[in-house]
Parts: sequence; structure tokens; C-alpha cells
Amino acid sequence: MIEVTGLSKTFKVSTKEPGLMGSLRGLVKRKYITKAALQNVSLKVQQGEMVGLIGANGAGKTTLVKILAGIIHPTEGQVSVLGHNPWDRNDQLRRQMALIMGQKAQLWYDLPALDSYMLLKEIYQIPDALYKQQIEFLSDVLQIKDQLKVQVRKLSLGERMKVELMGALLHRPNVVYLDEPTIGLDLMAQKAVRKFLKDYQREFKPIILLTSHYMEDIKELCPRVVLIKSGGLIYDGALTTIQKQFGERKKLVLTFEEKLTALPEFPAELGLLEMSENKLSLTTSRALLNSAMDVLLKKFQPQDVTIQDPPIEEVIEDFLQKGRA
Amino acid sequence: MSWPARVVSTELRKILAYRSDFWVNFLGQTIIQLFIARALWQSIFESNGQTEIGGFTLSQMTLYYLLAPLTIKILMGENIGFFSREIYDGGLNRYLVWPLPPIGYKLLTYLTYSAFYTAQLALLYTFARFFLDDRPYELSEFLRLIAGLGYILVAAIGYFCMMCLCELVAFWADNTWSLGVMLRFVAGFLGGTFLPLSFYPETLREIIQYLPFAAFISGPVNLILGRSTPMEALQSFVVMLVWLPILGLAVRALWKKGNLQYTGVGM
Repeated sequence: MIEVTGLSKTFKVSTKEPGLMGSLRGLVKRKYITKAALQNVSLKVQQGEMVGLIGANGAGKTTLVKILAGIIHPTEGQVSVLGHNPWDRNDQLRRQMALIMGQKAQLWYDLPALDSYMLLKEIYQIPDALYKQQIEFLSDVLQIKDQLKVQVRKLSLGERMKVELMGALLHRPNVVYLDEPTIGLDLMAQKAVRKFLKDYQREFKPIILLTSHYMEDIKELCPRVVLIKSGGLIYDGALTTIQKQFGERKKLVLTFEEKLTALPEFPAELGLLEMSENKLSLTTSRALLNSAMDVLLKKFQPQDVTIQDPPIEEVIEDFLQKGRA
Repeated sequence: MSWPARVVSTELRKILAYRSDFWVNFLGQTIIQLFIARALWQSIFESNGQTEIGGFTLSQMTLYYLLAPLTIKILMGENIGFFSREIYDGGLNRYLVWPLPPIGYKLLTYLTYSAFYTAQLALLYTFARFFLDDRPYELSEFLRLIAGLGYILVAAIGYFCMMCLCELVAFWADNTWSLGVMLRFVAGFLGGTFLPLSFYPETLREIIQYLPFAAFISGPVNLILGRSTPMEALQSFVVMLVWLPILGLAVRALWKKGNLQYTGVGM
């Protein structure tokens, strides 16, 4: 289990005025600002849970992951990962943990992945039988068998992420931190990585903490999400609940038999009306939906009427912009 | 295979990964350095009309300038930036997550490079010795070479600690490449890379004998060349042994402090 209580982290960051004069002044005197990357964050994650950390750039997601992985020290608060303080860097904990940072390679570029895996085998003291089994299983699921003997630097971005994932999971960790695992990957590769993570989680039940800017990752993998804004935790719960509780907007779609020629007049205060081919779409708030529908149905006789929830991306974007609802 | 053995094996595979770079590194650089040193000192000897300068014959001087840069190469190990670069770009993260001591891991990778360059030195020196020196090869010469190489490897641990002290400043200053260059220059000057220490003024030599720098180059090189007695070599070696725990403790303290500053790049 992961237990975080009152976690805060501040960074002291130097600033510099732009331009050459700013650079010259910076040689003598630097200005520093203190940035609160995390503020009083508390959460619990049970074994076998897959949790998505969501937030804008600089919200504090990666800082939280780095603290949980024992890479950086918190300014305040308590963290327990599988009963250990991560920044004690206890080997017992580190043998059960994996960190994958999408933008940071862990394997050696100049060597084939298998060479790096042999080292990881010794570092994590993986028994021979388990090592062979994991290589077989992971390379099979990730469909990367043929690439294991090729220098990592010669692999495509997607293949590189797959071999990185494989390396991080060789020792079958109980806690996996994934920081942007699909960043920069094409749609096919993203899909493959997501499918793999889903299968892996089902098979081995580790705690998986995932940060991603791709909502598809979160939607597909994380039943529970934690929303972070300016270092503070603003939501912790089911992804579906956000949509139900905080999806303020609704989309009303009227479908007609014939193609529409002009956008009809419609009171702007009731929502935004758009036209495409034989459809009229109205984006409005939940509270105004009935009134808006009345106005439209009095004017038109559509062939079909549907009411849709807005995409989760929009709900979360709204939620992050407005903070706690 | 244990993880330290596997680290050594992985690093060796990295050294052997690129064929052309390997051969340029193994032979090219040394041949050019040797050629320049030989040409330079030959003209100095000829213009002075002397057969010995500072107690060195031309052959001994050439061998000294073969050994000194190769010894520096052994000391440089994995080269400048082996820690600071990883602190700067966040590459250090992987060593912090792995269940092993990061400094121990880095020391092993460094010593792998050092051991590789030690083998290079042994090979090239033996080869050059037969070409440049007419004297018959004796068993004592071989034993001196073995003792000298062992000496260099122990001194390399001291140099690793000094490099660490420079590199770990990156926890605060981000970029410390220039510190590494400065250390290389200071160690080269006080160790005798640019000029044998016998050429230095008496007062400076007296100060140097209490510092660890002589053990980096002058001590082992003079031992290999037979220019110092085993007792003289032992003296600079003991000085290095006294410095080792001091340097080791300083590295440990700096590492502990620095870790509190580490951000792993970005927030």
C-alpha cells in the first residue's frame, strides 16, 4: 500500500532577466523564487490499484512520483510505500519498485536491450528461471522479440519505450510508477503499450501510478484518478464520478433528414449552436438543457434527438480550470 | 555472476561497442602524443648538445611522456562529467531507484575504464620499451611494471574521489565541467604530467610530497621507469593511502548533502 500524508515540496529556483544584460547580472547576483510543487497532498493507494495522476504541466505530478520513488526528498509530510520510507532508499523496497519515465531512458543506448537486462537481472537478483520466464512473457506480449539484440539507439521511439517497459518490469515489481509512458508514441504504439499495461496489471496486480497527458491512457487504464492543480490535490476518486458529478455541460444533437442550409437563429444565452451537414449540435449547461431543448423542438422537427455527455477531456479541463466544483 | 562483475562486463561491452573509436582511442592518440614528445625532446637534446637532462636520457624522457598521458587516461576513467552530467540531466534517477549504492556503481564503472587503460599502458609501454631502450630487459623491470600498474589503480581510487568532489558540486551549481578540467590541470601539474617533478623547485617539491598528487603520475611512472627506489615509491603511495579515507569521507558527506538538493530535473 502507498500512504501519503500532508506531503509538501518546495523548490528554490533561480531566475534571470532576459537578454545579455540579464545574463551578465546573473553572473554576480541571482534572484531566487520559491515554488511550491506540492502542497499538503494526502492519498492512499491499495495493492492492485491503478491510479491516474492528472494535472496541467508543472502541476506537481512528476514531483509526487519522484518523491514516492525516493528520488527527491519532501519538504514536509509522511510517505510510506509498502511500509518503507522511500527516501531511506531501502534495498528491500527498491527491489519491489519500478520507475519508467517516458522522457528519460534507463537502458544504455550503445548496447542491445538484452545486455542491459543481464545487468538488471544481477542488480535485482532475479532468479534464472524467473528471468527467462519474464523475458519470454514480456517480449511476447510487447511483440519486441526481434529487437532485443539491436542497439537501443537504433530502435524506433515506440520500440524503445517497449524495451524500457520490459527492463523496468523484469523483476516483477509490486509498485510501478509510470511517468508519461506513451509520450511521443504514434497511435499504434500507444495502443500497444496501453494493452500491455492492462494485461500486466490484470496478471500481476501491482500498484500502478500513471501520469499522462493523453486522456486515452487514463480512460482505458485508470478507474481511479487523482487531479492535481498547482501542487494541491483537488480530486481523488472514480473517473466516472467526475463525469457524472462535474460534467456541467451536455451536448444535444438533432439529426434531420435533409442537409441544413443555414444556421437558425437561437438565443446565445441558452448555449452554443453549431451546424454540420444534416445535424445541429448544441452545447449547453445541464441546468439550461430543458429550456434549450424546448426552444429547438418548437422550431424544428428532427428525425432523431440525442443527448451526449461531453468528452472526459473537456470535463477534466473544465475541472482543472475551475478547481474544486 | 554478481552485479559488480556484471557492471564491469557491461562497461567493457560499451568500450568495445564502436570499432573505429576503439582503435583511435587505443592506438591513434598515443602514437601522436609519442611522436610529438619524441620530436620535441629530440630537438631540445640536440640544441643543448647534452645526453641527459634532469637525469633523463632521450629514451627515458620519451618513455616518460608515453607513460604520463596514459596514466592520466587511467585516472580520468570514464571522463569528466560522469556524475555531473547525470545530475544535470536527471540521468541519476536510475541509480537512485536501483537497489545498489550509486557511488559504488560509479566507482566500478570508473575502475573498469581505468583497468582497460591500464592494460593499454602495459601493452604500449612494453612495445615502446623494446624499440626505444637498448638495455636488456630484466625481471626486475617487469616486476616494477606490475607494481607500478597496481599502484596506479589504487591511486585511481583517490583520483575518483577528487573527481567526485568536483562532480557532486553539480547538485548546487548544475554545470561543473570547468571544475573537472581544473582538477585535471592541477593534478597534471602537481603530479608531473607536463614536466617530471625533478624539474620543480625544491620548496614546491617539499609541499607536493604531502599531497596526494605525486601518487597519481610521478610516483608510479618513476617506479615503472626505475627512476625511484621502492622506498621512494612507497612513500608517495603511503601518502595516498592516508588521503584516501579523508577523500572518501568528504565524498560521502557531499553526496548526502547534495541529495537533499537534487530535483531530478523539472518539477
